Amino acid sequence: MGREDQARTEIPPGTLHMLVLKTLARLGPMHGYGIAQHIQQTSEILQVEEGSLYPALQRMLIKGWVSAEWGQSDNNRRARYYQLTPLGRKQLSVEISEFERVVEAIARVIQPA
Amino acid sequence: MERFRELWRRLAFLFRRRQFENDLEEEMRFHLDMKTREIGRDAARPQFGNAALLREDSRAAWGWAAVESCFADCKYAARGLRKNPGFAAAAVLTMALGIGANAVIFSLVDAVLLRPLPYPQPGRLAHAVRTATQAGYVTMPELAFWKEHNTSFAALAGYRGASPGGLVLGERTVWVDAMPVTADFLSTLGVAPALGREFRPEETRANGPRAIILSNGLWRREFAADSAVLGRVVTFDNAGYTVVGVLPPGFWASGTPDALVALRFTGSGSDMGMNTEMIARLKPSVSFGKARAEMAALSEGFRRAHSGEEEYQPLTIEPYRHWLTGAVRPTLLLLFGATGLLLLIACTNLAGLLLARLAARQKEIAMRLALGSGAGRLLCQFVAENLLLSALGGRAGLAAAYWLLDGFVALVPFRLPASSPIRLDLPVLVFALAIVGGTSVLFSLAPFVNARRLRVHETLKSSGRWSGAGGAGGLGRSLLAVGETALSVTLLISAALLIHSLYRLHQERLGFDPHGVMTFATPSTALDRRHPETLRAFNAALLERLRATPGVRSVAAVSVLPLTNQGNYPVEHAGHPDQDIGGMEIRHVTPEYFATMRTAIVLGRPFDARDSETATPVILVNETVARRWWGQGNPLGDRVVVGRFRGKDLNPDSTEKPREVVGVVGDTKSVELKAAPRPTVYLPMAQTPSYDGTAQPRNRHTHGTRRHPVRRAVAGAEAGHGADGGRARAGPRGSAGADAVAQQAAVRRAARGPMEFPGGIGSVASRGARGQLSAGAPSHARRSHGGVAA
Repeated sequence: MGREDQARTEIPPGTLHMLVLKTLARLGPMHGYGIAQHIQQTSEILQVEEGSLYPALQRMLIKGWVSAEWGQSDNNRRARYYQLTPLGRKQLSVEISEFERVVEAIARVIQPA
Repeated sequence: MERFRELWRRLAFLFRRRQFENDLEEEMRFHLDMKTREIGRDAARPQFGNAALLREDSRAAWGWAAVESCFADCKYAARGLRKNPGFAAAAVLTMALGIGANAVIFSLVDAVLLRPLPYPQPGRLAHAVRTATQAGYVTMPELAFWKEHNTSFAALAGYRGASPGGLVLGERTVWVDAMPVTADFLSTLGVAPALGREFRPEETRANGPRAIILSNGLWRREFAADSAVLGRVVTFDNAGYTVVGVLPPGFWASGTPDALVALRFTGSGSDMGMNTEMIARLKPSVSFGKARAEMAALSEGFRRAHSGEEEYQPLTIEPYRHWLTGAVRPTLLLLFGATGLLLLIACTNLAGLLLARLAARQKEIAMRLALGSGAGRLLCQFVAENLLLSALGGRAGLAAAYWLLDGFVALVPFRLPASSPIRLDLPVLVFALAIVGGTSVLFSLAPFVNARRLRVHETLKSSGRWSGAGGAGGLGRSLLAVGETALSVTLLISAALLIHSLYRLHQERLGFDPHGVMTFATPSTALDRRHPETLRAFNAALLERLRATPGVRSVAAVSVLPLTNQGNYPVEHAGHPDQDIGGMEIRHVTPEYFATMRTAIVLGRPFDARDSETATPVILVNETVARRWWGQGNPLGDRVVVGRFRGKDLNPDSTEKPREVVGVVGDTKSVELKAAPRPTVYLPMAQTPSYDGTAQPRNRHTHGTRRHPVRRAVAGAEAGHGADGGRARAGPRGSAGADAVAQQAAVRRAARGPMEFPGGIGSVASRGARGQLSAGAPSHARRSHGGVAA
């Protein structure tokens, strides 16, 4: 906490799914802890309330974007690994293109005239 | 497609909830452990967030949160009720009463008034009635005239009530209820025979070929569903009938006859009797108004064509369903209204109980509001509690209704023209569910109004007793009290009116004493009527056996029991053809009849052994006849002729001689309790060979307790009779089996009167129940009734 945390930024609303899906696309099967670690380390500044990953993962399970399976973690503990489904892969590209459109649009609005 | 998979996953979740909880718990623990190892325990927890809330959130993602909280509410409600068993029992019983009564009455209303008749476009069916009297019977010439001249109807037919006859099947004779109908009867109803055809016009002519159509049940039962039965000649009522068709299963025509026989013109006097009902199907383009206009015109045409009919009563039509249910509709609706009122009272009572309970729970509610419970959440809680109460009450009520329905239907003292069985089926269950749902939501709103206005602070501060005499709670309770008083007064007034009607009915002098009388009927066959000596031997044997039965005080036979049927037969005061008093009731009785029924002989003597077949023909008249014909004079020794009308014999071959009046019988209620006694004459059965007789035992016990000895006597007499006559008589529906049915029908009919008063609810219990008034089967000229008296 403390100094380091103050530098971090909350992830923008509506992008958590995309970040999780992208992480899984990059890492392959991964548990919740690993996903959170990856997002925070890769982004360097993004702060995830780590517990909130789990409701999000449940929603993605319902949607069929990810599947879950129990496996062994690196330190030999039982961990639940999430894996991208073909449907999730499709959803990822949809979310990325949608996000890019929004970013471009915002950029157009805030660019100096 | 994907939506279905998603739904499937959500559903599957319901069955794996424990697994889900464990998985989530474990992976969160794993996460926290890893985090703790990374940054230490104190830092890990805040960064992870509120685990309990997150678990809740994860669970909610699956979309069952509302259901689960509802479930929790129900569990909580059940716990609450278990803690207050007194309150729960009172509430459940109240609801059971309200819902049970409504379910029973609604099943009657549904079967009789709501369910469509089992014909295509039943709304196009019409029934002929007299414009002035609404009487529904026509003569055969009228039927023929209308059939020939009408332009409004696509089809028109006549029918009569079913009556039993013996169908010979090899060695056995089974009693079947056969309904006489004319050609086109089935096509008028719109029902196609399952097999064969319906009657042809030549089969309804005088002396035409005799034809019979079997019911599906009879065909399956007795003919092994053999289609080769068509064209076969069967012996029914001692005549040969050709089987021309088989009815479809479930056929209903104001009853479920075992067979249809062709209703034939006889060419004799009986054609002229008003004894046939006319039913017709309107052409698609014709309205009831247009058809009624034509009915009026045809009535005028008929009157002119038959110039003798000076006082012709014109015919009109009314919808068939209306004709069928007209008599019972007001009664049923009244009963329905009464049970509705009962339900409302039950509801107000329950609402009162709930308000009292709510008052006791003010603190709890205030506490929950203070802890941030939303008003909506509280409402959910109340609805759950009340739904639970109503559901328990509804279940108890339906269970009671299920057990009581048959008995109740049997007690209904009038005929229920229901085309399908009266039972607790889907519509009734839906209706009961609607009541359960409706009432529980209703109850929930009252406390909800209170809960919202509750001053949390004051309630929590107050020392524990609820002190809310004023405010919304007070107003709610006042409204309840006022409503309940109004409802109770309404019900009380209805009940008082009913008791008044019943009282008046009990004041009606019956002219006979129904207590301890047990009755039944035995059908006879045409052969019996042609062989009066066999018949008389049977009667004598039966009466003798009954007389010897323990507990039986006296036995008598009569052709038509009181309050079962109306006769209409002319009798003339010999030498005074001008003193016409229209059709009368003719009763053929054995000598003991008057003693058995405790009917007074006000003048002269009853019949006795003197009045044998060879003795002087004698007759008894009732007081009404004596008054009309003799006024203050003495009728004894004067003579009357049965079957003569304005100087003309009804039946040209009649061998009836003038009969000497030997006595005057006290008036009895003959057709309806409400109506004045009809003019009636009594003939000794010994002098009237065309009527068979059975018994009317007067028993020391109320019937139902000691019926078996009487049944045995009947069976014994029948067996003996069969042996003597060289033929079997009793079939499966023989009299011993039929008498229970007959009694039931008769008890209903007997008490028909009370139901026609406003508020006829209670007569159900008072008359039919204990069978005080036990009259015989729906009578028919061919049968007679008996009774035993104690």
